[in-house]
Amino acid sequence: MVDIVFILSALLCLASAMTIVTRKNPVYAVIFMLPFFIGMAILFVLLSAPFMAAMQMMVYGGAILVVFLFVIMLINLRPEELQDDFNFTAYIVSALAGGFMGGLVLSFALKGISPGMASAFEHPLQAGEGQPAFGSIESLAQPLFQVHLVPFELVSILIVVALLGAVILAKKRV
Amino acid sequence: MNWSQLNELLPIGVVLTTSLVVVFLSLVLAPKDRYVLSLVGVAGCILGLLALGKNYHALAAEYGQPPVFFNGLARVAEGAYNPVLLGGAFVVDGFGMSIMAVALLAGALALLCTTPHEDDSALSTGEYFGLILLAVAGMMLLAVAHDFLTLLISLEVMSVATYILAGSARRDVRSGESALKYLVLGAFSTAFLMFGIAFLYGATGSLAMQAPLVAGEHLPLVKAALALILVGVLFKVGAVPFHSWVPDVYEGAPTGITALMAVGVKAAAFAVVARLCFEAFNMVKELPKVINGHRFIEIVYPLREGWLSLFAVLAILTMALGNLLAMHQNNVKRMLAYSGIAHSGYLLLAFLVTPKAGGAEITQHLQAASFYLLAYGVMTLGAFGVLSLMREDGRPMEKMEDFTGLAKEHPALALCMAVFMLSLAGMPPFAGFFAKFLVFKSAVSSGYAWAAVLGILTSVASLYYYLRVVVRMYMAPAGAEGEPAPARCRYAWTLNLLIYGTGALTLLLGLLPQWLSRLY
Amino acid sequence: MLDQLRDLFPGWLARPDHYHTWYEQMLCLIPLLPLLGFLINAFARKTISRGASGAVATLAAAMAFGVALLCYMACAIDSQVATVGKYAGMVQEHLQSRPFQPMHAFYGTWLDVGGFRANFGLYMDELSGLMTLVVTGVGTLIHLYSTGYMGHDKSYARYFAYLNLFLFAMLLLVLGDNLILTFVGWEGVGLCSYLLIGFWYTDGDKAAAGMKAFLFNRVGDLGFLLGIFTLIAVFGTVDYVAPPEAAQASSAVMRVPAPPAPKGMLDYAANIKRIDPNGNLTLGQVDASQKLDLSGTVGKAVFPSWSFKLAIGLACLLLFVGAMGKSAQLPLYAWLPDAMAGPTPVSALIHAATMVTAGVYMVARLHALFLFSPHVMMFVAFVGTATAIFAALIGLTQTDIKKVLAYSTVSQLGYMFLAAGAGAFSLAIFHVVTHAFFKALLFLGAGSVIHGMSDEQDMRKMGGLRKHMPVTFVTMLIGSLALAGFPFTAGWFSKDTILAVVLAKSHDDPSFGSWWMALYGLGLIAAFCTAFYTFRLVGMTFFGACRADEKTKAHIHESPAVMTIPLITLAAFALLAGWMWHAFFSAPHFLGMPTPLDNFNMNPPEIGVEATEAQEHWHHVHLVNLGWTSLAALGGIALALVVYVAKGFVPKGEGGNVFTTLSRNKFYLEAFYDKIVSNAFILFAELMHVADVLLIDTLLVRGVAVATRWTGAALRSLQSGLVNFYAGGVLVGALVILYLLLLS
Repeated sequence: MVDIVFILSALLCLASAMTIVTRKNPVYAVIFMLPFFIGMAILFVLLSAPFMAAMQMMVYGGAILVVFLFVIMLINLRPEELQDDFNFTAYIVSALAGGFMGGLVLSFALKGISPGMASAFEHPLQAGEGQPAFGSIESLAQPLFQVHLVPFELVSILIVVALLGAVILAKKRV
Repeated sequence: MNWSQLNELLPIGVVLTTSLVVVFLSLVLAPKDRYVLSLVGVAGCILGLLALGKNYHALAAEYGQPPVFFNGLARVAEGAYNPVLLGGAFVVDGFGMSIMAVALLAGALALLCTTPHEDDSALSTGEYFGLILLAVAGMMLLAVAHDFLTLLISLEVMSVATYILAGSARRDVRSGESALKYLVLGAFSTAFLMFGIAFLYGATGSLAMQAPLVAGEHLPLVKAALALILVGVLFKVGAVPFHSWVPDVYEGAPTGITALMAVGVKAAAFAVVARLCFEAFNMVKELPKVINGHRFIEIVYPLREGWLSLFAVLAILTMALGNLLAMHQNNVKRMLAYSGIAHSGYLLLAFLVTPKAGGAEITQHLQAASFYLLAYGVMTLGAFGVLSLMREDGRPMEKMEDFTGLAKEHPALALCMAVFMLSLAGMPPFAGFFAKFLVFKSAVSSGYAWAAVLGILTSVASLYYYLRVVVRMYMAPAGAEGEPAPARCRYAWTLNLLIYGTGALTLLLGLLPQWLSRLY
Repeated sequence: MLDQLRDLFPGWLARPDHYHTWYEQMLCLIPLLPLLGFLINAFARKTISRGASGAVATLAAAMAFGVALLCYMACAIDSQVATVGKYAGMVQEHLQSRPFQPMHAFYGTWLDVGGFRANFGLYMDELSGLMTLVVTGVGTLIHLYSTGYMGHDKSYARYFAYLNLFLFAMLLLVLGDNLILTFVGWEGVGLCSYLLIGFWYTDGDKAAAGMKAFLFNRVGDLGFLLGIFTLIAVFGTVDYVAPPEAAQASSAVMRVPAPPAPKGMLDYAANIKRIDPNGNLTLGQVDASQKLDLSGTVGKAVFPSWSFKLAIGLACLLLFVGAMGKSAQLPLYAWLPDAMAGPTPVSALIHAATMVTAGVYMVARLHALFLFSPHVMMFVAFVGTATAIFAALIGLTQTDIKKVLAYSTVSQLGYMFLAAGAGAFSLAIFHVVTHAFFKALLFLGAGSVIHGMSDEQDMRKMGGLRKHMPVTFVTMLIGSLALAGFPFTAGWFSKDTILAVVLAKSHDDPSFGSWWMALYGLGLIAAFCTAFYTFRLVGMTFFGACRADEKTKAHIHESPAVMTIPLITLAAFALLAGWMWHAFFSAPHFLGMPTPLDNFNMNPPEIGVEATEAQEHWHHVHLVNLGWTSLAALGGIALALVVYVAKGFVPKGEGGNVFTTLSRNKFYLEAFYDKIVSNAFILFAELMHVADVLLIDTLLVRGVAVATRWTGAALRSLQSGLVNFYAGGVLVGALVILYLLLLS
């Protein structure tokens, strides 16, 4: 049952991601983000991280998607500007990248995964004793606000940078 | 967590505070007084340098060494001293401090390259100067970041700020193009970095710089993680397969910002390369014997072995491609961009260590690398400074022809430019010679003599294009109409002062390379 | 504050207990005086008068010569030996027997980073002392001459600034006590040579000649630099000899890691020779032998199981490549004839007397290392001989008076390397000294002729000048006799002895005997050619009827006194230098006394009043050789006099037989360089350009453009196409790295 759900949601993710990339009209592309986010949320649930799933839906599916749509509508692209996106470098590059990735996978398939890697996949890290349960809000909060408090605070600098950048880019006349 | 250690981060705090001061000051200043902003920013950089000097002095005094300018990292490796701050988020050592100093110098130059009167007015707002300072702060954070999350966020502070700065000359189409390319490709490379960090966390459950040490059976995953992290960092460095953005982005960005990218971003990224190479690529193996209650461990370097040949090949490709393509450029800015790629290649040579190198050897390599970064920073900043002064009616003069006869019109500037060019080519007695000498020597001593040979070959070839500028300035053959038109140049006493300073420093670092390490 | 300064310059501001002798303190004045002259002329050139700038430059050179002479005397005179030796800490066993006590001044640590250090130190021994005297002495005369020759030039001060800077760099090269300092000087003289060749840069050809010289030299420098790295890998030091006490005392402030053992590479070489005369110790064995502490070296990483002989041989080969560039040996000779584009005094000073002999000096400086490898020595001798004969053949047909002298310089440098390759380093230096005198004389004489002929350099338009310019004629005749090797002139002494040594080698050297015989034969032919083209020059210039046009003819005049005084002085030396050499460096042997430079030979002469068998043999060989060389010299002179004086033959500059065509066209080697080598390089760069840019530009961008046009849209995707491609490059690179590391 879990496997079927996993495969289905993974396929949903892949298919909608492909659609996002290949759409000419940005509005369609953004719309197709919704099934993608839903698929992602399902995957999070399967990984026993319900809080992340909720966040995924609220932040991405709710807020970010809408902002994207607003922006696209504000830019107000004319239809003829949306037509000439075709270029074959993208195909060459995708072919190359796909080739290399396929080669990598093929070499794994032929040579077999090394024992170390296999065990890495089979035995995920165990939470230590006295640690909050995996996937719980506590297990998210502890690293974020205790272990990695300093980087968390540093994000504030990043936000200042984004703010100043937005001012520079948006100012009409100075 | 020991908050009193925050004192070690004082230089970064000074720069951050200054950036806010500059932004708020711009709200109360009349537009014609905005030149004060750049001066305030420079004052912040100087204060930061002073704070850095004070910390450095304290570090030297505490550990009883005379100057320990260069060797903090290796001492961490030897366990002799533990400068790890704030639960392992930062490590403020001599190496990191030297990178911070380079970043501060780059920031000061970038601030001074823009004077409000003549330039695009978008370039002289408080936000612009504030962003430069924030970018510098990001570089300084990156230089001392010691876990992967801090590293990522510092990198983003630096990168996001430079993306916007690259596009800040809004009247110039090339500037927008430069920013867009940088943003798209930069985001692309950061994705690799984040992927790598996620892999690493997945494999080890830790984000510490030494996380790979405990990789254990998850080694292949860790290898993949580090490869992806390395890709993200090498992109910032501009090493060969990830170099293609450099010329376009450097050429389009305002000259001061180009200098900031060419020097500051590169130095900070190389700090990360150093920490990866010398700290993350180790692994501890526990030996199955216990004698007198002591467990015995052996440090093995399975990752380092794999990197070495890769690094050597990348270094060679980078040097060769950068130098060969620089020969064709007729635009000095673009030429300097390709030469920056070439110099990244030389710097990569400094990271070729024998797989089992100990602390002393690593120290030598790090000394070579940080000396190179300092020397390269000083001379490149100077060259970009001269370039940003070359203007006529607000139009930048970046072509080779524009330098014709500069020596007649502005002898002091031309002299400085000649010094920078000769130094970049690696001529003694300038700083560039010693920088290259040390790097090549360290490559030879690790047994990578062939890489050093190719390096020297390319550096010989590089003389050709650097000399073209010198020849243009001093020995331009008279044209058909007689005397060539003198090159135009604007004058800004602060920037001129900084250029003379970097010129003097280029000479001083070549004549007395010891001088810096005795400065305390 | 003072303490910090002392820390920086321990030598200069030493505490009282570290005082050196006055002479050592003065040693630094030798290079610094010309530097001061350079600074004055460079920065005050707008304010000081023309007379003052010439006077400053000449005085700086003359004072440097004075100081050099004082220091040299201090080393050479016995009463000084004890004091100098005591304070300099130079009392070393293998130096004890020297009749010349070297001076070693230490002024501070220059660089101490990456586990290796270089000092500011000057070292004057018999070799560098002699070179210093020649450089400053000839330099002073040429400065004086230049005040006259350059009298009409508008960039007078700039000229003297460059000239003084050159002297500074050259003296640094000669006196530096380590390879890095020598290399700095080496690059410095290259830079000055470039600046002075392109001095009249408004002429595009001349600027190009400067560029050519610079680039050719850089190719050689590549070898030099690699040689330095190899020596660092073997010995872990760049010092020639152990630094004096002051330097070692200052190593107390050294930091992690530990300093390399404070010994010089020549000391190490001497020790290796003592332990294993053939140098066959492998690098791994060294620790066991305990007499050598090579712990500071990295050699073991680089040359895991090589013997010292092999490693040092490689280093010497690389260093010799550097010497080939600087001293214009085949195949890197082509820049020197072009370098004649510079002012004539510059040709005399830089491209005849001093800079081009730097390669010979370097080989002699490191002779103890070259002696490890007979094969490299043989290679040196081969290259030297090949250059000597090749350049002499080209010299036969040149019609530009300076070009003749330029090829003659290349040829004579070949003789010097022949001597060095034969192990007679002192003779190589002897020839450097005599050549400095007579070739500087010839160039200055040629300059005087050119000056008098209103800048005409073509010998076909000269002739009969002996009546108009008597002083120039007589002095140039003396110089020509010396160059041709006329008996009892300076050139005869040095060239004849070199060939004698080569002849002796053909008897003594069991492994290469017949090769040496061949070299001797070629050397003799080159000597014949030398005599011929020299007197061809004299004949075409000074005899016969004047072939200049009327305007020039009316203007012909003898040069002023500032130009003739140096000519006369140099002529005196060209006559007497050989005798002086014998008085100081050879004659004492007959009285049973050692002389300076004895240590610079492969087989130091056996000293004794009674003649040994070896000496008998040597005298016999010398006598045989004397006959041959005199025959070659006199034959060449006589033939030239018959053709160009008695018959008054004037070459047309075209046609002729196969040989003259070949010779006139420099055997097409330079054309080969221009056409093939430089083009190949440009082609390669071009290819890279094609690969990286054109491929993207034409193939992909055009491809995209075609594709877009096909779908009926504009070229808007051009930029995004590029970014896509860049991103693709990043992606492919990342995957390759991932692939390599995961599967490695």
